[in-house]
Parts: sequence; C-alpha cells; structure tokens
Amino acid sequence: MAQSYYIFRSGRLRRKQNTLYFEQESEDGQLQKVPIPIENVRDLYLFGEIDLNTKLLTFLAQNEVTLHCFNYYGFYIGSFYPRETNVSGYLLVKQVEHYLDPQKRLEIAKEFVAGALFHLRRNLNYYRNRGREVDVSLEVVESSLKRLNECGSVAELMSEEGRARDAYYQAFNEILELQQPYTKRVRRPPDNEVNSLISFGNSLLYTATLSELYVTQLNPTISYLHEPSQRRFSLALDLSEIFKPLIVDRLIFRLLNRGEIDENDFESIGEAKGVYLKEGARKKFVRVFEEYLQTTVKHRRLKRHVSYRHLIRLEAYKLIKHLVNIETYKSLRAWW
Amino acid sequence: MLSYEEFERLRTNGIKVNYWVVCHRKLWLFAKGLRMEPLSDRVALGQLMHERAYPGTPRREILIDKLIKIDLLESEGKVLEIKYSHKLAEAARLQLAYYLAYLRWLGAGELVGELRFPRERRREEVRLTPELEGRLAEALRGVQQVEQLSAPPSAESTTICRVCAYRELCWG
Ligand code: SF4
Repeated sequence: MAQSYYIFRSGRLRRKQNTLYFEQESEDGQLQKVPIPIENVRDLYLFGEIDLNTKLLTFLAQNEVTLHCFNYYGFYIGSFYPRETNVSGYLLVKQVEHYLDPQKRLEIAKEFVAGALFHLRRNLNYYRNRGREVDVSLEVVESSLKRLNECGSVAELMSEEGRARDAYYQAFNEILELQQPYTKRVRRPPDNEVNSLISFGNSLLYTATLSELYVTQLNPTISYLHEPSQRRFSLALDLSEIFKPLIVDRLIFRLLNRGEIDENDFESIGEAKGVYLKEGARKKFVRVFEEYLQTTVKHRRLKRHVSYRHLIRLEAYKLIKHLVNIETYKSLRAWW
Repeated sequence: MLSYEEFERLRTNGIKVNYWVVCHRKLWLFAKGLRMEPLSDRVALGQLMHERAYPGTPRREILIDKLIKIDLLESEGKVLEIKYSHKLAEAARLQLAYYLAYLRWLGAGELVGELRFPRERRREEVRLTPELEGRLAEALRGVQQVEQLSAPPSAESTTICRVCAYRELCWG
C-alpha cells in the first residue's frame, strides 16, 4: 500500500541502486542510513533541511512519487510533480472546453462551492446540536447556499462563498475556547494561532489532493472555481475546497478543544508578525492529519469502506465523468 | 475474412479487441487515454502471474508495430495468451485470434494459438477458423465504431464491473 512519508529531520535523501535512503549524521559523527521502500511511497513531505540531487528526482519520477517541500517555519514552498506518463489528450481538450465556456465552467464551480458550504453548515450544525450559539452564522451559510443557483458568474459565486466563510469563521469563537477572539482569516503570514493552523492544514490538504490528482489523467493546472493562474495546480485548490471543513477544520477544532495543541505550541519569529507552529506541534498535526485521512466511511454506491483520502480520488473521478459526459458532477456531501 | 485494405484501416491495439467483447464503455475510455489499469491490483496480479507462469517453457515476448504484444512458445511456434480467469474467455479468444490474423498479414503463415488459465489448469487451442475470423472482423469493425463515438457508451452494472479496473470511475 502506498504511503506518505514525512521527514522532519535534516539530512540527505539519496538514491542508491534501486533503493531510497534517508541519511543523517548522528551526534557521534556516524552516518545513519534509513532505507525507505520506494514501492510503498506515494509522496514525500520534507520539513527539514534536506539535500538531494537530480539523480534522486529521476528516481522519484520513475516511481511516480511526488515531493512536497515546506520551509523552516512549516510554510509550503512547492512540489516536485513528475512528468506524467499517463496522459489523455482527449480529457485535456474536455477540461479546456469546460473552462472556456462560461456556462459549463460555472456549473462545475458551483458544485465545488455547494460542497464546501454544505460542509460548513454540517460543522455548524454539529456544534449547534452540542449547545453552541452558532445560529447567526448558520443562517448566513444557509442563505448563501440557497442563493448559489442564482449566481450568474464565478465572481458572484466567489463572493457568495466569501460571505458564508466569514460568517463561519465568526462561529469559531463559539466553537473554540479561545483567549483572544478570532476575528478574521488572514493568510501569508497568518496573524494568530487559529489562522496558522488553518494555513498549515490547508496546505497539507492541498498537497494530498495534488497527489491524488497525479494518479488520474486530469490536468491539475486547469481549474474552474479558482483562476488557473492563481496557483500552478489550481485544480487542487478547487477540489480541496470541498474537503477543508470536513478534514482540516474538524481536526483543528478537535486539537484545540482537547488541548492537544495550545498557545505554547506557537512562537513568533523576530519582528515578523506571524505565529508559527513549533516543530513538535507540527509533527502532531501531521500525524493526526494522516490518521484522519485514513479513517473510512462506508461508500453507498461502491458498497465498501473508503478512506477520506480515497474520497478525494473519487471526487476526481466524478469530475472526469462529468467532463466526458458520463454523469453530471455532484460534489461530495458527507452522508455519514 | 477481412481484406488486406480493411485490415490496414482497422489495425489496432490487441487489448481493444479484448475490451470490445468485455465492455464497450471500457473500450471507449481506454481509447481516449483514460487508462486505469496501472492502478488496479488485479491487473498487477495478472502481470505477475504472466511473468511467473511456466518458468520452464522457453518463451519470447515480441512487440509488433507497437500494437500487439505476443508471447511466443519457442519450441512449438505457438502464440500463447495467459489469462487470470476463463470468465472472460471469449474476449481472450478474440484477442488471440487477432494476434494470429495480424501475424498472418505480416506473412507468418498459419499459426496456432493457445489460451492458458494457469490458476485453473486449463488450456485451449485457438485456430483461425472462418467462423472465428468472421467474429474477429465484426469485433475490429466494432472497435472502430466505438472509438468514434463522441460520448461514452452507456453501461449497466454487471458482474464484470466487480473486477474491472474502471469500477470506481463508473460507479463511485
Ligand atoms: S466498470 Fe463495468 S461498465 Fe465500467 S468499464 Fe468496467 S465493465 Fe464497463
């Protein structure tokens, strides 16, 4: 079974014959080599300072392994996305066709937003049933959901989503027991602990989505909700919208409310206004994130258990089916 | 029997003949470059079996025109086709018939094929009878028709879907 490997230490990744090694000098100057079985690797996450060479990249490409890099503070830097061997010119044409036709593009973008808002509402309902005062936010999300069908352009769709998300983030003050009230979502750099967790979680989800897209023939640079120029792999942004509340937000609520991560897990660096997750907390987050992706639910159509991670893949398949005219795309709405 | 001209026109990948028998949608998706096989455990299993089966028999794999990959039994000059299960025997039979016809068009004369199902210890000899050739011609024409469809053929969920690499795409 393919796995994600997360490397937090510093050292060197090396190809030796047909094996992948992580090498690190121990305190007494000895070179420690840890073999990583390449056939089990789906993707590699580098958090430490790692040396590598093109021989290694060639090896990763041959084995269709993607590589995701994060800097010292845990910010996502970029991915090595190997040349795809398994391409479909036909599907590419279809992807472009659906992008160029405003109606077709809107139809797909709407489903991404509908899935995202559905899950925002689901999270709010969950906490409402546990006695939290989230009614105001819930109403805003509800009304945005109802208005989606009237949106005549992707821009309108985006602003509808923005409105719903603002309201949703307001509810974080009810859901989380925070010392400082959570005001609004700020990225790059995040200005408080919650934003820092959201940013970190979202980039993990984005890279996981990218890895799932890699095994399909979808071209990750052509997207519908986000502009294809927004990021290199903007289709991964599109798809991860649906899953953010389902995976990242739930995880953040859990970690903070159970006190598994608290103020002591963050630090500011120098003058920079920013809140960085300390390494220990980052590791913890990555571990629970990975566990969370592996949790399974019973799939109603496939009649077997599938993991959250696999649901991302299935979402990509559903999009393919839409593009080649097998079945109209309906984004995931968690049914469990 | 196909004329040489028609053969030239219909020449295709051997696996497509197989898929035409199994499922038209599968053929269409495959022909559009939507290939799911590399992901399927079952296909990996089939490949492994193919490599490991009959270690004592001298065999040679040859790729011809980048379209057909035949497995030749060296001592007997037979074309071998190894399959996981006989359930899809008709598809395998036509695929093999296609290889035989292809080789004949290339001037190799009348060859004999053999289907093997190692798990079930079954074999079946395949010769190009006029009847089989007729079915092959129909399949080749059918492949082209399906490939030219602008939308994928509709499909029904059948027992074949359960072991199909496209199952999650079609039904997930
Ligand atoms: S899953 Fe069923 S319908 Fe889909 S391609 Fe396979 S056999 Fe055909």
